[in-house]
Amino acid sequence: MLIDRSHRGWAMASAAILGAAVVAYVPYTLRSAPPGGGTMLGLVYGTTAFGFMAYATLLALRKKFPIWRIGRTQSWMRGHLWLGALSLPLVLLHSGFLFGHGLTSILMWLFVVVWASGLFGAWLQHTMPRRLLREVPMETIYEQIGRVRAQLLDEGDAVVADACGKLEVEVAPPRPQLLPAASAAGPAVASHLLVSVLRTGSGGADAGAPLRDFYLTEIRPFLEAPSRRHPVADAAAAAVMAAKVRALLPPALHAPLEDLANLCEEERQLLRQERLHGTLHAWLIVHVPLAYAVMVLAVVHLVMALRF
Amino acid sequence: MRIRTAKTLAERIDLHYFKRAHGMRRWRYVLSAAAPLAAALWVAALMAAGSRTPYSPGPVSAAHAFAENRCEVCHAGSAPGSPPASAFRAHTTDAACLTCHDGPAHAPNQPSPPGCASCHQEHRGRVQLASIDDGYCAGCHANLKTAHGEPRVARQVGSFPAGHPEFAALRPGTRDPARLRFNHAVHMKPDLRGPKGREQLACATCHTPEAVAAVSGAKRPARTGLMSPATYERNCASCHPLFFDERLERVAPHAEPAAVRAFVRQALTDYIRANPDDLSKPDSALRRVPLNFPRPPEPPARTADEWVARRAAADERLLWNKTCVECHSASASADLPVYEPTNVTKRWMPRAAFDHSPHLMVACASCHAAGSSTSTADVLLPPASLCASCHSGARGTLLSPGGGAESRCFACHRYHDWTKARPVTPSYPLSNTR
Repeated sequence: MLIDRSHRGWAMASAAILGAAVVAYVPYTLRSAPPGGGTMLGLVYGTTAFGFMAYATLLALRKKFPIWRIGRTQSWMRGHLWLGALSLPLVLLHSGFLFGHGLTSILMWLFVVVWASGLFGAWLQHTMPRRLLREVPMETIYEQIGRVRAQLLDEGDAVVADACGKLEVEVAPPRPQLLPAASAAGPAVASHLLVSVLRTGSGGADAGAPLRDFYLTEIRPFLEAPSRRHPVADAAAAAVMAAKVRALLPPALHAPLEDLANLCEEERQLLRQERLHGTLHAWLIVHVPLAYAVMVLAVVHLVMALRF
Repeated sequence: MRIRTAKTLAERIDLHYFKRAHGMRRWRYVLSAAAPLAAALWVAALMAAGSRTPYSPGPVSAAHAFAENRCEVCHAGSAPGSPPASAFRAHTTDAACLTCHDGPAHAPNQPSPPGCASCHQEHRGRVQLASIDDGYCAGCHANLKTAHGEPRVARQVGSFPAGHPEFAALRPGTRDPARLRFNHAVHMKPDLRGPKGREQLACATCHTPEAVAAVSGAKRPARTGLMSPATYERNCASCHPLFFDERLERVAPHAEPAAVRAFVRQALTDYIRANPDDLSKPDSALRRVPLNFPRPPEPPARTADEWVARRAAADERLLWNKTCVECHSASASADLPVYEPTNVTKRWMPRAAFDHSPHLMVACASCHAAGSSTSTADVLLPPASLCASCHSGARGTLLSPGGGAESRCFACHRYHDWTKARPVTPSYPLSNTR
C-alpha cells in the first residue's frame, strides 16, 4: 500500500496518541514506584496496545469477508499500518522498557519481530510496486507464471516450426495445475513425451537451420527451465547472440527471430517478477504467523497478569 | 510479428487459479495455523505440567527464592482461613506477607499506611526487598501530612543529599547535652602522661565498636554498628585513678557519693586497724595526692574512730571539691554533694541506622573533628554534606552514569518501627519448598 496523503489523518492521530502517551509517561516514570504493567497507567498503555494489536490482526478477517459493511478494506489497511506501528511504543511504555521474563520476554521479542517485519513490509509495499511497474511491464498474475511459461514455450516452438518446418522436441508432461480443471485429474502421463511440431509450406530447411539450432540450443532450454544463470537471462548477452544469428539468417526469418527475442524478454521479466514478488511477500511468512502467535500469547499474558 | 493484446493475455490465465493455494500463500496458511497452535500447545503443556514460572514477571527476591515456584504462598488472594475474595483474582495481600513477617507501623500519625506490595515490589530479580527507591519515601515526605498533630520530622524531605535537611544534632543552636567536662583536644595531644609513661592517645583508645553477645558458635561477636559509650572504668580510670589518701594505695570507686563515702571510711578503718602506730604519725610531706585545701594543725587523734573521721573528712573534701568536679558538675548540699547525671548521648541519630563497621577504613578525624574540640558542648558529628562526599547516589540515569556509595533513604532509615515488632508465628511448612 502506498503511504501517501490519504494517510495524513491516520498519521496525525497516531502522532497525537503517541505524544499524549509519552507526555503522560514522563511524570509517571519520575514518581515513587518504578513504571510497570501493573500500575493504573501501565494497564491503560497495555490495554490500548492490545486493542491496537487486535485491530491490526482483524485485518485478515476483514479481507476474508470483503462484502461485510464494516468500512473499506483500504481504511482497515491504513489503520493496520498506523495502529500496528503505534502498538510497540505503547507496549514499551506499558512494560517500562523492560522485556521481562519467561512468557513476557518471549511475547516481547516475538512482538518486536512482528513489528519490525511489518515495518519492513510496509516499506516494501510502498516502494516495490513502482519498481515492479517500471522493471516488469510484461507482468502477469504471480500464481499464473508457471502456466504462462508453458504457453511461452509452446509459442516459441510454434514460431520456430512456422519458420523452419518440422521441429522435434522432447517435452515434459504438463503439470496438473497447468491443465484446465476438467483434465487435471486425467490419466497419468509419461515422464517425457516426444512431440513433433509440423508446419507445411515454410521456407527451406537449410535457411532456417541457424534459427532452429539457436532456438534448440539456447532459447528453448531457457524457456523450459528459466534460470538467472542462463546466458539468455542477460538481456545484453542475448542481444549479442541474436545479432550473430541474425547475420546468418535471410531477411524473411528476421521476424521470427524478433519474436523469439520478445519471448526471451518476457521470460526474463517473469524471472524478475518472481524475484521481486518473493521479496515483496516473503516477509508475510514471518509477519502473519508470528502475529497470530503473539495474539495467543498476549491473551494468556493478559489473563495471567490480571489474575496475579 | 508477436503482438500482446489484452485478449491474448486474458486467454492465458486460468480463471480458477485463486481457488488453489500457491506455494508462498500455502506456506503462509500453514504457518499461520502452526504458529498460534504451537503457542497454544506450549501454554497447554505448561498448564498440564503445573508450571507457572513462565507467567512470572521475573525472579523473586533472594529472601523469597524458596517459594519461586510456589505462587500460592504469596498469591493466596485472601487471608489464610478467610473465604476467597474472588475466584479469579489471586493478588497478594498484606495478610500473606504478615503470615511470615511482622510489619510494625511507620508512624502513629501516618494518614494512610500503604500496603506491603506498594513499596516491596517483588519479581524484580534477586534484590533485597528493603532496598527501595527514594520515590516511595518522597511520595509522602516531600510534602508530609499527618493524620493528627505536627510531624516530628521535617515536612519536606527529598533525596539525599540535595533534598535532605541538615542532621538535627548539627542544626544551629544544638549543643551536646552531656553534663560532663571533657576536652577532646587535650586528650589528643602528643606525649600525654599515662600509667606506662608518655603516650599518644588515638580515637580507638576510648571509642571502639560496640559488640553484643555473640551467637553461640559464631566466630566473632555481633556488632551493632554503634560505638561503645565511653565509661570511666574502661576509658578513664587507667590515667585518672581516684586516689583519695596518700597513705592508701587504694582508689575510690566511681560511684554515688554515699558509696564513695562508705568505701573511704571502710578503707581508712581497715588501714588504721592494720597500722595502729599511724595514729600518732603526722601527715607525710610527700603526698601522693596534692592537697590544696590546707587544714589547721590538729592534735593527734586519740582513737582510731577519731582518726578515721578526721581523715575521711579531709579525703572527702579532696574528692568532692577537686577530684570529682574535674569532670562532673555538683550542686551544693548540706551533707553529700549531688552530681548531675552525665547524660552522655549514646545514639546521636535515633531516626537513622548508622553503622560504623563499613566506615572503619576511613580515618576517624575525616568525619569527627575531635582534635580541635575543647568543649563538651561541641557536637562532633559530620555534617550531611560530608556524608554526601561519598554517598552521592548509586543510581545512574540515562544522562548521568551515577556512582558513589548508596545514598537512598533505606541506607540510613527504616520504614518500620522495629521497636514495636511482635514475634510472628511461622506457618510455612518446610515441605512446601520441595
